[in-house]
Amino acid sequence: MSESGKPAASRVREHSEYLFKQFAQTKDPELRAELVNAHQNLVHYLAAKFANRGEPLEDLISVGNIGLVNAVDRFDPNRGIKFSTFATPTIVGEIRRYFRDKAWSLKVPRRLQELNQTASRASARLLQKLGRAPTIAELAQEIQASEEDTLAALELANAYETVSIDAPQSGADGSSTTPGDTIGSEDESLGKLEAYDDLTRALESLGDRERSILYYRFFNDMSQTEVAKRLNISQMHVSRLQSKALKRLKQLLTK
Amino acid sequence: MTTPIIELRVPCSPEYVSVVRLAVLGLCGRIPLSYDEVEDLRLAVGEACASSVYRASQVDSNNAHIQVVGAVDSARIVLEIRDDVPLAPETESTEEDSGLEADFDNQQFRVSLMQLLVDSVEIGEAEGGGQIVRLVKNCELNG
Repeated sequence: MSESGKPAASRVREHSEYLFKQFAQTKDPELRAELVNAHQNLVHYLAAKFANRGEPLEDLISVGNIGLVNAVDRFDPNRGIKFSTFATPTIVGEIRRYFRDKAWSLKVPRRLQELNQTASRASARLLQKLGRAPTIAELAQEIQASEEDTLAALELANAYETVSIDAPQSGADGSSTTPGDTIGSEDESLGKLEAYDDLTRALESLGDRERSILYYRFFNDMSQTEVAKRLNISQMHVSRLQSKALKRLKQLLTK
Repeated sequence: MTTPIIELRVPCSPEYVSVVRLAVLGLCGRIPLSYDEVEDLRLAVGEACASSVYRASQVDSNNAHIQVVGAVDSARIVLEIRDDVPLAPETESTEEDSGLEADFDNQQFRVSLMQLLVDSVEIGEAEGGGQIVRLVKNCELNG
């Protein structure tokens, strides 16, 4: 059979096989470029299948080409499989990884994900048309959703990408803080306030003399002897009353 | 296993492939799959339908149908795409002649694409002589 009698596809394939054999030996960058260009339609074909997922087709073709270049580099023409069969997993893998990396960090209802995409596209469109950022009402009207839904959709942009709690963020004054620093913690003095209230009630249930002893001893830092002198009783008595009062307080507070 | 079975029967032509894809989307709402996993499954289903449509166009069968039978439980979704287009004997020559496009727009290519997108692809012959593609997508999130 003469060369011209063969179908076009067959001739193209033979030529590409020849190029691959050459490239496998020489690793010539020009051959590589020619092979990558020769298989553009494969990348376009695959990338088109992943369109309508919210990423521009051009981006998908770009990442698909990364896969194609890798496939061209690794293809062994002597293994007897077609290049398109060999390259498909690599190209699709690259495109899917792109989607995975772009994936939402938080699980968001699909309806709102789509609304978010519609809203951000509409927002860009209106920005150009109006020459300023659109109001929520304008945006809601543009995407035919309620203002509340529009707001929710815009808020979702935050869920698309999350920030590590330890990620340093430089402030305007050059200081570096992390989101973790700005998170509130439980106020310990609130617990103290409660304990203080309990203690006040418990103290009220004590006798006058016992309360006075505790007051002098622990609030005025007086010694037992000083307290004894003040109340005109023996130091032994003070000690006894004090331990009795403390025991009673303990009982009341652990109830 | 008493999983409810879903059935959908549409004409075997390009405009109904989107109907099938839409139905699959609804079905996927019943199982906690991520956005991309759902899209992968829909793409695989679309490929399976495209294969049926392509074969129907080759043999000129105007009243062919695609039947989708699905079952969803908490762990996975199983879809069978059946058609009643007679399986043609593999003819290399027709694909060779239809340009470079045919180099990858063919049955084998579709199968390898489906295998990349779902967890299991089985292709067999249906009872009436058509093709049956069985796709399984596991739900990894479900514990």
